[in-house]
Amino acid sequence: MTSRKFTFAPESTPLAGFTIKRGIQRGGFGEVYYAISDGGKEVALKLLHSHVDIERRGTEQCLNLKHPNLVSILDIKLDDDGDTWVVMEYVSGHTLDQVLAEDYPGGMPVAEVRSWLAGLASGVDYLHDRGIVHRDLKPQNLYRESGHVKIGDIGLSKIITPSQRGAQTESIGTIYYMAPEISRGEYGPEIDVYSSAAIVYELLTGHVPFEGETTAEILNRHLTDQPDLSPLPRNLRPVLEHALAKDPAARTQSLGDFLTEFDDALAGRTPPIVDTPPQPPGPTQQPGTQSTPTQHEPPGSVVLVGSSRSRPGQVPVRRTQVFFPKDHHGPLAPRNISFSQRALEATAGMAAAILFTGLLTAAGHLTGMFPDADQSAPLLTAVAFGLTTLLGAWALLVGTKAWEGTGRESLSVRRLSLLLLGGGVGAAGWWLHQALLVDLPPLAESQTAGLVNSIGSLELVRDQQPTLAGYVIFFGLLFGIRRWWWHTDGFRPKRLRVLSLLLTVSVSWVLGHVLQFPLAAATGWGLGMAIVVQLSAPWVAPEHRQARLQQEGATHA
Amino acid sequence: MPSLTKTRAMPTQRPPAAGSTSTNEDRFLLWIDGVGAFLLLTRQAVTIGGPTAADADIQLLASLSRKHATIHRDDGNYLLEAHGPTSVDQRPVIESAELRDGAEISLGPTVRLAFHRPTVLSGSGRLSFQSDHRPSRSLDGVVLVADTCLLGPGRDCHIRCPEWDDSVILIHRRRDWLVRSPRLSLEINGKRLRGEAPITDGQIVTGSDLRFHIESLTEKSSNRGVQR
Repeated sequence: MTSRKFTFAPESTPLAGFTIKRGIQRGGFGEVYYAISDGGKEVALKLLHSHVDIERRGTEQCLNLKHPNLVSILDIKLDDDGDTWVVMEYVSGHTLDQVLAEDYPGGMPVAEVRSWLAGLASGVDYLHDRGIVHRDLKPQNLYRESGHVKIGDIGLSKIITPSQRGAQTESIGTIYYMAPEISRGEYGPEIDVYSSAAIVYELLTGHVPFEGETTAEILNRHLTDQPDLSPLPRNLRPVLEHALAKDPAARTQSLGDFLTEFDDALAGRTPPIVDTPPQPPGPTQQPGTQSTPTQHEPPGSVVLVGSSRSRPGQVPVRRTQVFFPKDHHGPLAPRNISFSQRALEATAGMAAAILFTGLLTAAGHLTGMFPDADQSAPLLTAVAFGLTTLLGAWALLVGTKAWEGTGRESLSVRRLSLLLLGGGVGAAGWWLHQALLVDLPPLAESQTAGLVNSIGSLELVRDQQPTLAGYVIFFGLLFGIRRWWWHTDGFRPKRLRVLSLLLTVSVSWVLGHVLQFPLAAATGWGLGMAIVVQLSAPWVAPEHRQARLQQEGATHA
Repeated sequence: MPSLTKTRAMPTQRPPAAGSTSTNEDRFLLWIDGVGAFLLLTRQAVTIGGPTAADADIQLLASLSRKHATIHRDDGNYLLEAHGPTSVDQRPVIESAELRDGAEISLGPTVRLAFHRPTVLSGSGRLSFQSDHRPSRSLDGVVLVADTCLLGPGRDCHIRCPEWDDSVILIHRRRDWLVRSPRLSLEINGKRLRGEAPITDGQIVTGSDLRFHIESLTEKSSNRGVQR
């Protein structure tokens, strides 16, 4: 929106009676200049570039509207070259998007949001009452001057047809606030409610509800994705959910209603909007709204582009997922993480695991934690321990990242796959110790009466050393019992949780007893793998999670 | 080459409050595309007054005295001298008060201004309008120019131009304005700028994503509203 090549220079007078002083804004729709009339009146002059006839017609409709919250259109004029200029009231002060970017990048206080919403609601309800749909509400079109919210661009820039949308990159700013039914050619007043709700969402959180790389992707998310309401204040979630409903008939019916629900929610008078079951198409009766039968286009509304009026069956409104679900096998946060992202995180984690295992093993070795058991040297014991730990950590990273973020796989599938991986690690560990001729430390005294020392004819222990079956079963159970996917989840509460470590050590201690697996080795591996896995698995700090979620939602859509 | 760090030495003697012969010289308007209009004042003493104060440097549409306050720049320090009810940072000013970076100035019951010294590299300060009171034409801010005025995307600029790639320095030397940019390639009226060059009233400075010009307000004091 800067001055990239304005057509007219400062101090030029393309339109008789006005002197251009500076450019204000430039886009595909036209150019806006700050100008001063010969009598000294400051105005905003908009030179129409494209779709001049349609823009002109839209503007003419609104030429004589008067409302304190609307930027007045003063006149439409032709210059000597036959170009069309719209003379508008000049509004000083920052646009809402500038205010947001400069002062509140992370979202505004609720009271501030409310004051913008109140002005917006007053102006837009006035337009709707006159049968006019604004169609392009966005923070770039909202100003505040002398305490009054002013809505700009009335009757302008309404050229959004499905065929043009892809090519018209200048309307990208609009697309973030575009109601889903616009893709079906419906331009009822509900689209202004949806846009306003998207604006309010952005004011509260600092982010638009749906972000994306491309126009098509954002549009698609408006059509299919449910907005993530979790960053919003809890009592406002149902209000925003109602106003951002995909189906215009299920949506808050006017901005006045939206403001009422907003105020009720803040005052704790929230009507239970969210618990209203999906309703059949038709008038929606909800507490706090005076619903009239839904008018998609009131008589005389300004509809300039194709307006097919299909009314598809109501899409049941899916309840927004709770952010940290209480079920015990699901992910910590339901996310749409792409396969490549998970592969990247697993690989990064595996690389980091090498470092952390090395450090851990070296520390253990230097502090004499690896005793010279039988004939093997302490260094060799440490190497065997470290390599087994590393293998275990790798298997856990790969196994848990495979379905991070999804809640689809059942608990048993998760546990079973980890159990099998653990068995594999156990086998490898056994082979490693055989190859390096390293013995594990002897059984502790408390262990000698182990509960299980053979399964049928399968011996778990021979000569105080676990057999192949002993290794396989110990590692398999250790992997299958703990919820390792919470250790590697990018959204885990802390990078390293001591409680997790203690639990894992306890589990391996119990397993050591039950299976007659040497306790020192059992707890050592439990502790080692729990530390290495948590330290290595990539972790997203809480303050960056919202951005990550949006990014992932975008790449997924 | 003016020093960026120090203003010229000036006599510490303050001009008498009543007998100041403000002639609205050294007043300039800087028009920046996509950013706004800014008043550049180069005098060492700047007066602020109400609508009847034809000779005030900053004439606000507000219920203020003809001469409500004077801001003096003195060797890089700013001193506000109150002639009408004034407070700085909520403390009433009896005679005068020093203006530090971030100072809030209240004139009368309703007018609020903020004073900033965005960078220590320049002695210049900025006044921004906190209340809705403006001169008869809307203005986005006032720069009290000691030596330089920095325009650019950074918070250390006197005038923030968030969408610019880099900053531009306006240098006020004697009666002239010079323009310079460390990294941007600029043109003055279509002529490529090398190093620094003077710009005069009406000349237009352009860059790949910027455009501005300076308008001198000298001799337009009585009929500033009429351009043609």
